[in-house]
Amino acid sequence: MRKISKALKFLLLLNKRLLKRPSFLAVLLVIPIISFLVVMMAGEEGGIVKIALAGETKKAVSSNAVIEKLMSDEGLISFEIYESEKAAINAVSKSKVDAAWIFPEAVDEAYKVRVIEREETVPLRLSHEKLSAAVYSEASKELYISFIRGNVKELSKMSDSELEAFYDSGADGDYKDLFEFSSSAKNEKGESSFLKAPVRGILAVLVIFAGLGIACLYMIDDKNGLFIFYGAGKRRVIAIFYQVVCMLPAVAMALVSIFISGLSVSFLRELGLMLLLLIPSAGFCSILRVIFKKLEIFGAVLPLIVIVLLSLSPVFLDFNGAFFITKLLPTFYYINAVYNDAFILPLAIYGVVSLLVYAVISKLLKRA
Amino acid sequence: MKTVGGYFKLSLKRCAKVFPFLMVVSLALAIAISMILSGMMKMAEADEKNQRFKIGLVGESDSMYLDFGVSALKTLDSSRYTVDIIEMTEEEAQKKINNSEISAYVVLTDEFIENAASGKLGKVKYVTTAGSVDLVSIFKTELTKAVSELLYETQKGIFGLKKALNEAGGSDKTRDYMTDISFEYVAEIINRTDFYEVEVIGVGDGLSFNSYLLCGFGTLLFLLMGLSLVPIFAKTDKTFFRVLASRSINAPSQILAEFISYFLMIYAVLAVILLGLSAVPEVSTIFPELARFRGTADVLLILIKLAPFVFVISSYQFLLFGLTSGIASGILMQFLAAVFMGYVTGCIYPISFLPDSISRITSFLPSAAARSYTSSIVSGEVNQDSLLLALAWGIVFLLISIVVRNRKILGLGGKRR
Repeated sequence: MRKISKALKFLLLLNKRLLKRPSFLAVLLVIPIISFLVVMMAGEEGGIVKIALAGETKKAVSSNAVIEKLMSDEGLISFEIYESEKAAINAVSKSKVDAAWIFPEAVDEAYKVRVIEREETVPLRLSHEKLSAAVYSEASKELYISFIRGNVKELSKMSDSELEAFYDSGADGDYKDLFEFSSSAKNEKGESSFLKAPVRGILAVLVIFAGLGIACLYMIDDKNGLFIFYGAGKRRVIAIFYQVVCMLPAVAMALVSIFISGLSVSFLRELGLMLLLLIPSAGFCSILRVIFKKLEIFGAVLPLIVIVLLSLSPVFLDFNGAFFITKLLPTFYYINAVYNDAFILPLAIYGVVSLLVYAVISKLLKRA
Repeated sequence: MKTVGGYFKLSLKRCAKVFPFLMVVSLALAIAISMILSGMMKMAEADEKNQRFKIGLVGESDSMYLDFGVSALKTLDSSRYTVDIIEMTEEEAQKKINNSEISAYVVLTDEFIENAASGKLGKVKYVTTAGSVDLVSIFKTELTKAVSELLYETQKGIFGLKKALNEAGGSDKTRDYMTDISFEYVAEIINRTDFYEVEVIGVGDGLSFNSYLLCGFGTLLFLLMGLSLVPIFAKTDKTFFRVLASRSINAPSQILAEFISYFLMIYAVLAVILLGLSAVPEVSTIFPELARFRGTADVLLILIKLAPFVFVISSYQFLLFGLTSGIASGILMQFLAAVFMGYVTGCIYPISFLPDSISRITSFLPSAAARSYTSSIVSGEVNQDSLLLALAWGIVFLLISIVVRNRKILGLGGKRR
C-alpha cells in the first residue's frame, strides 16, 4: 500500500512539474481556443468549386431558367453571375473562379453550354453533373414535347401548354426526397462539414504528440539517472505509467476541445474513446522511444511522424485503406471508432498489443 | 569569445554541425510529402484508369431494367471516369465500407423499382461513413441531387405522356409509347455530356492545382522542420545567456547572432532541395510553372527571391524555441503552430475551400504570407503585399524574441528547468 501511494505521489509530481511551466499551460489552454475558432470558421461553409455564370448575350443571363436554378441552389459549388462572357473567362484565367459556364439564349437542339476551365480536375468533373442536371430539367420537357409531336398522333389536338401541365404532374413526390442518407455506423451523428471533420483527427494526433513530448522528457530523466534504482522490468512498467499519467493533461484538453467545439457525439462515448486512445498512444510512443534511443534522432523523426499520422489516418484524406501502414496507427482506429462500433474492440486490442510489443522490443534491445 | 562576432561564429559552427542532420530529416520529409502530393494529384486527376471512388450497389431485384441501367452506367456513362459501381450484397457492402474499400453504397429495393415503374418516386438509401473525407463523400449531396433531378424529370416525361394519353381516351399503343420515350430518355441521360463543351484554357496567370499543392506543402514542410530541432534549440538554461550578457553581448546581439546562423542553415536546406528538384526532369511536367526554371542560374535566382519566405518561417520557429520552457511544451507548440496554422491558411486544403470571410482574415497570418509569396514566385508575378507582410512578421517575431531573451537574462518570470 505504501509502495502504491509512493508511486502515485511520484507520478503526480511529474504532472506538477509540467503544469508549473507557463508555456506548457499556455499551449494546453490554446488547444481548445484554436479548435473552437476553427470549427466556428468551418460553420460558414466554403465552396470547393467556384463557377462564373455568364450568357452569350445579356438576355441569356436575365431570362435563363437554368441560371436561375443554379443561383438558387446552396451547396459546395458556389456560383456568381458575371456581366459578360469576356469577364467570366477573364476571371478563370486570373484564378478568381475555377470555371466559367457560358449559356446560349434558348434551350433547343443546338443548346451547348461552353465550359471554360483552367485544368481538368475531379471536383470540376463532378460539377459537370450539376450542370447536366440543371440543363436536363429544361431539355427533358423539350424532349417530351418533341416526342409527342413526332410520334403520338393521339395527342395532336392537345396544345403545348396542356401537354406541359401533364408533364409537370407526371411524377409523384419530390426529387429532393429521393435519397435517404444514413451512416454505416450505429452512431448517426458525425461531422457533415469537410472543414470541421479534420479537427478531431488533428486533436487525436496532438494527443500522440503530447505523448512523444513526454517520451522525450522520459529520455532526459533516464539519462539523468532518475530510474537508476529500478530493475529493467520495473522500469518498463514505470515508463508506461509515466507516459500515461503525463499525457492526461493533453488528453483532458483534447476532450474539452471536442466538447466546446460541438464535435462531440456523446459524453460517455467521447470520454471512453479518448481513454482508450491513451493506452495505444502510450504504447506507440514508448515503442518509438526505445527504437530511436538518442534524443536528437528521436526529435528528427517527429516531423515524419506528423506527416504519416496526418496523411495516412483519415484526417484530411481517405486513401480507402490503400496503405497497410494505416492500420498500424492508433489514430486510424480512434477516428473510425467515433462513428463505428466495429472499431472499438480493435482500438482496445491495439492498446494491449502495443504494450506487449513495447515489452518485447525493449527486452530485445535491452532498453527500458 | 569576447565579441558579438565571436558569438556569431560560435552560433554558425553549431548550426553547421546540425546542418547534416537537418538535411537528412528534410530529405526524408520531402520524400514523404512528395508521396502524399502524388496521391492527392492522382485523386484530382480525372482519368478512366485512375478511378478513385468505388460505390457499392445493393439490390436483389431481377429487373432487367436495373441490369441494363447498371451496365449502361459502367460502360457508357461519363461517370465511369470518376466512379466505379460494383454490385454486391448488403452484408458485403457493410464490410467493405467499414474497411474503407468503398466510399458509399446505394440500396435499391424491389419496392423502389416497382414504384419507379408506376411513376412514383420511392426512397433510395445512400450509406456512407460519417467521418468520410473523400471527394465523393464530400460531394454526396451535390451528386445525389443531380441524380435525383435526372430521375425525377424523366419520370415526369414518361408518366406525363401516360396521363395525357389517358386523358385523351387511352390508346392501345400507350405501353409502346412509354417504352419508346423511355429509351429516348436513357439516350438523353447517357449523352448528357452533349449539353456542354469543355475548353481547357490552361493555367494562365494563376497556378496549376499541382503547383498550388507544391507551394502549400512546401510551406508545411518548412513549418514542420522546427519539430525536429526542438531538442537542439529549445534550451531553457539561462546561465549561458547571462554569461554572454555579462560580457556585453546583450539580448539583441545574442538574438541576431543566433538567428542569422539559424536563417543561413534553413536557407542552405532550401538551396539543396531546390537544386535537387531542378535535377529531376519530370518536375517541369508535373508542375508546369517550374518549366521556365531550367539552369543553375534560374535556380539561384529563385533561391534569392525566396529569402523572405525563409526569413518569416525561420524567425517564427526561432521565436517558438525562445518561448518554450521545456521539450514537451516545445514539441506541442511547434506542432500546433505548424498544423493548425497550415490548415487555416491553405497549406493543406486549398485556400479557396475556406469561406471568403474567413480566408480574408487568415490571409494575414505568417504561414499565409509565406505560402502566398512562394506561389507568386512560382507563377512569375511577385505579390508585393505578401512580401511586405512576410517581412513585417519576420521583424515582429525577432523583436519579440529579443524581449523574451531580455526577460530570461534579467530573470523575470519563469524558472530554470
